[in-house]
Amino acid sequence: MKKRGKGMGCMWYPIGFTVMANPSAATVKVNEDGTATLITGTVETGQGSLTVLGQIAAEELGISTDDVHVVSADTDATPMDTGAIASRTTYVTGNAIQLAAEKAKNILFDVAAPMLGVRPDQLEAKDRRIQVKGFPQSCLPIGEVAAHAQNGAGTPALGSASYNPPTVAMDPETGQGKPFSTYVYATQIAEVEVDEETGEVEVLRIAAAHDCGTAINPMLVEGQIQGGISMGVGMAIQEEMLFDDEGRQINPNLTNYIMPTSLDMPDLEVDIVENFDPTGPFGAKGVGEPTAVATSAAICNAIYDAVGARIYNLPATAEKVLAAIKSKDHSDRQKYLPAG
Amino acid sequence: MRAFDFVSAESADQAISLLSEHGPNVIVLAGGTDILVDLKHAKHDPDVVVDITRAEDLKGIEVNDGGLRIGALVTHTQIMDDPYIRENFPALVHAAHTIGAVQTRNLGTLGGNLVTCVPSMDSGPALMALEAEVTVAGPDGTRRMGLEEFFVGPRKTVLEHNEVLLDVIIPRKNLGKPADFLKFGLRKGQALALVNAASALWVGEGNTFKDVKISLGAVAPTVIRAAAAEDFLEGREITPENMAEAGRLAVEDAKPIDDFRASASYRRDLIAVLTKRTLDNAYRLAQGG
Repeated sequence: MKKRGKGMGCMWYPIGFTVMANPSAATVKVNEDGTATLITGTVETGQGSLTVLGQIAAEELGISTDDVHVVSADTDATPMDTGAIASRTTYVTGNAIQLAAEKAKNILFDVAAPMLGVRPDQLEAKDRRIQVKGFPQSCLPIGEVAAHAQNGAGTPALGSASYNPPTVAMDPETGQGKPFSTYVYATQIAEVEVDEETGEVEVLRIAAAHDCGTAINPMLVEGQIQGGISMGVGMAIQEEMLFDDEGRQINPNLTNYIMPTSLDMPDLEVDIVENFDPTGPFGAKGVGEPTAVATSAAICNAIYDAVGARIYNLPATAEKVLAAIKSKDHSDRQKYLPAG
Repeated sequence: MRAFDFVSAESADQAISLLSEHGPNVIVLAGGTDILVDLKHAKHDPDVVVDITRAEDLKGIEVNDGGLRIGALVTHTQIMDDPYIRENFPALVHAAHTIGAVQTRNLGTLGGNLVTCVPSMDSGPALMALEAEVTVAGPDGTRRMGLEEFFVGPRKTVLEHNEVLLDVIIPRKNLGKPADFLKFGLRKGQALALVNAASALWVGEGNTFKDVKISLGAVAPTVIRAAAAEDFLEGREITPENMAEAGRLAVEDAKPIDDFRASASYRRDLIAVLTKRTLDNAYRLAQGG
């Protein structure tokens, strides 16, 4: 009556498109109390990117994430950002922020070098201090250096930078070029239970292994993967915009546009595969959209494993799965494949 | 939404007199889970809203000489939590549990679900399979009737503007009658039923169906009884084949619609499956499992 099956979906996904301008910019200033202010145009949409971006600035400056005040997405004051889109924020905006923080840090090194009697290139920023590499006891609190930069040296500790993924134009003859800066990879495995009499698919479990470069904030990466899988489950078995003959949506509300509730969610097992990318901030790439890509393929393969029915157009609603179970001749494949 | 007056009743009698006084363009507010949405979308345009949430005589769950009485204001959560209902009527608990979300169940009332009378209501089938009756009170006194009579059409019951639903009564003969409820929606939580179904039965001599009652929701203008399936089963031996045949016959009692949620043909498939499964589950319950 109910049959179980397992299926796998694999994917790669591009991060940092280059076929058109894709810049981010940031300003980082180090304050006299040792805190820093990060000014960025990107917007937080609940994924936690401002936390990650603050972490990047903090890591570069050798201070705590708590010390970084993030000012974001104010069109009066912040630089324009290409957007919290295309899984680009950690990678593109993060690179701009790291560069801006590095500029501010270099000013601190220039100011601190004579105070500590060393060359700027012998200094590092760590534990809220500017210290001599290899001789951490020779150090100054970062706030003191920032205050001296402002009030003594007259070179306030701030830096602005932008980042645009390096472009390689597409060759009009061959179509070859470098359309994206880097790529991430993932595999998801779904276990489902299919009711052979109703076609209902219950997604029991999904295991997801994702490469995201360096996981700057593993808990947020895990949260994004979980969120992406919930969208993937909706895409696989529920979500569908329906239109009447005149192109008006029939289900423009959340009563009739069906998406998963917490009760529809499977048990999730997330594995982050860290993979340092030298072009990303501290080796990071991205994780946003890729999280939803493999889910529906894994679920549809699991449905096939369970009941031998192939679903070629999403979502695999219960009605569609039941029809496929009943026909089982798979001739409906022709119906859903593009002509030719 | 247009402005309206709001008055509050502290008893069923007071509600009836307020409704008579302000009618006919009045509506009753109980849990509000349907009414508040409808008011905002201007499906209702009342002059007066009569709030009955403080009417103590419309509350409470009790077993008396007549059977199990559930006050119209009892919430779905209260049904799910009631020890007597949990022990004797798991089908009512299942049905209550499938309604809306936790917040809806905390506010929404059994009476409200029945009075709103959408064909896909989840309270209807299990109560109808248990031959529940309702008490309606108006200026001229009270009357009792079965749910089949109470439901008139989509969003329409026999209630006049100055009448209120007092309570729902499961007759004494059916206390503890094995019954099951199943709902099929497009997802697990906060779903409208494509089809819902309930069956209640006693096991007669020689392992036969006795007093089988089957009810279906979302497949006709109101919740209905599947009479052809019931007649077929009565007195027959309890076998998987007979349950499956009852499922097929139940389809003939229904008039499912074709819409964007599902085709009529798929709904017919579901009627057969759900009917069969509720019969099987009710039988298992009768066997003590």
